[in-house]
Amino acid sequence: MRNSFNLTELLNKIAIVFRKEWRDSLRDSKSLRMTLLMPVYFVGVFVASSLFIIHMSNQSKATNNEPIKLAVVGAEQLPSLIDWLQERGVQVDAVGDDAYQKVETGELGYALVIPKDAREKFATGESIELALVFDATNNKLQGGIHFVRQQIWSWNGRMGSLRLLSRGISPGIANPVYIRDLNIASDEKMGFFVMGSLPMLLILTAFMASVGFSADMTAGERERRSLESLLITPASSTALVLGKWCNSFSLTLMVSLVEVILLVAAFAYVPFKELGLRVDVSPLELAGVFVVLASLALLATSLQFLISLFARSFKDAQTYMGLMIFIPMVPLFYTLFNPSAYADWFRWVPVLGHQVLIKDLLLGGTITATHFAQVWLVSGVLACALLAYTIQQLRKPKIVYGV
Amino acid sequence: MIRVEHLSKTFAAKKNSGLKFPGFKKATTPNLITALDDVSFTLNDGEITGLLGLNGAGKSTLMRLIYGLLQPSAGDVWVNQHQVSKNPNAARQQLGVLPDDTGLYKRLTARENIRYFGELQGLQGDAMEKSINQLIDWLGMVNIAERRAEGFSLGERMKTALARAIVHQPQHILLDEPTNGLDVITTRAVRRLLHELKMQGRCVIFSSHLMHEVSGLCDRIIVISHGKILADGNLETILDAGKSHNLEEAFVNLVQPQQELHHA
Repeated sequence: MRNSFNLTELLNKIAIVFRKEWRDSLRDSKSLRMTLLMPVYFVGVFVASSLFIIHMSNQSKATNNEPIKLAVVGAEQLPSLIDWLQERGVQVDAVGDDAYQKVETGELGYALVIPKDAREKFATGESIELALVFDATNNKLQGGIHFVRQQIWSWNGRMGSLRLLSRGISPGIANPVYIRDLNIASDEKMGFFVMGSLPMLLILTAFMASVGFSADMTAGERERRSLESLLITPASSTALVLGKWCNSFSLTLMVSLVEVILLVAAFAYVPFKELGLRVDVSPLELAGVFVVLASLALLATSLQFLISLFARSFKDAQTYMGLMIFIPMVPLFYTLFNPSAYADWFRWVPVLGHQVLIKDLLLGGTITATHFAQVWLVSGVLACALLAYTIQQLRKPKIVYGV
Repeated sequence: MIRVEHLSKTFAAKKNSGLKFPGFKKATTPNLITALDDVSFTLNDGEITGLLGLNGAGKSTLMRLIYGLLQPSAGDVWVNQHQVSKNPNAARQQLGVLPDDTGLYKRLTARENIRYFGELQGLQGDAMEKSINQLIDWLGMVNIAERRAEGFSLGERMKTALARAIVHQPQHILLDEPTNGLDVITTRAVRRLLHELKMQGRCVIFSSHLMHEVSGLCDRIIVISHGKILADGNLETILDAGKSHNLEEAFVNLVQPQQELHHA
């Protein structure tokens, strides 16, 4: 009986402290606005960078698709070269002998001049001197010139090989190596980076959302000299710490929820498919992300409490909190630069485990209930330990008076 | 009833913390500062006790030991039957404390500030609201009760803090310089309240630097210097001990030799 009475009493006191702190926080409209601005800002940055990358990839596709135009003098002299170029997508325009002057005046970008005796020389197996006229200072044409030059060289190689074959010699003798270009689309990789940065933004939100409020309720309260009066009341340290902590935790949950909802909207409207990524993140998966963030909030807010309790002032607390943000940054940076790094023990490491699970949820990995249980267990145990230590220290003279 | 038995408190000296507890006697161990040295007294119900002492004499330390946020180096404090070091929360339930320079929650109204502490003390419902209204009435706070504490004047802050400290109608009331910096009207309101509390049979102790206030209000005066009690008794006793006809002169006479001893 006595135990149950004490528990009701404790819950009652926690509710009183929480109610007061919650009201206090809601009235601190400036801090609250800044806190709620964070998810808007993070999702905004995420959407903006995604749209930017989509835009860039669309643009590079557009330039790739545009045919390369080549002005040719004496096209009739070497029809097999012209055919080869046209097969490779070059649009060949026959022009008169004044091509050199036209390039000089800028009327033409560049031109290929085939000499008049080319047909004759080709038939007899002699070398032909082709002239590629261009203005090297015009950077915009470099891509096209490079492509044309490359195509001429490969036609050259082919013709040479055919001639050697006709004389019974293997082309391998004249061509010790040849290069095959394998182009990996770099846009896709950029898309992967953007998606890879999303867990980081989410984790940072959970870590930072209530930093100011936690510092205000502990270090700030001591600085304003209301802490001593509060501690003189018979309310137990457990009730005071847990009541205040509930406030930080609720605020973090609120901010995380706003962020997840904004992401649901972002995923519905941003055309991620154009990045060539499998980004069909459903609201259900984002709900899963929220569950992971909630467990992280448990850990982050209790850490905030411990740190700000030991800070001498509000300013001090904010400095320490700034340093605390680096804790999640370490594994985040590691995995950002080694996206494929993974080991099973990752899941047991706070923050890293959360990140792995969030990434799986966003990029479509295998997810089981055990994975959720793991992050909640790790966060829960750590949060309990941190809060227990905070409760134990709260009424120590060192905390109240700094002696 | 508050019983203080052979209470001593020493602090480890920190190199730069001289500001916090200046002027304390250096004990034989070089790195210890003695803030209180074997202090004993019993405060009775229905009495107002004034605590007189220079800055840094140990008044605040004594108060903090009574409400249990500092642990004594030796000795004990009893609040009625509760030993503060053993059962601090039970003792705190019977204490109403106004620490020096206490802060309010500035985003809450005066009434909400008082109510929060009432709730933490375990009050609820009509009994609490009645108690709050009574204090607001007594201290003349009707016009500020629904205002947020942000921008309160010193007097308004002090009245709110005082109401907050005694909202649960504690048997024992400890006030650290309650009239410090208050105007005449507010000081009178506080004095009236202290008198009222005494009439209700409560045990009141307050520290002050105002001699006329102490001599006019207190049934008993304790003079403390360098952690030791120099004189303890009613006004006549103190005047006799200080060999003077007014309290200020008597107080200076009592404290002066001590000061010289320590500065020698």
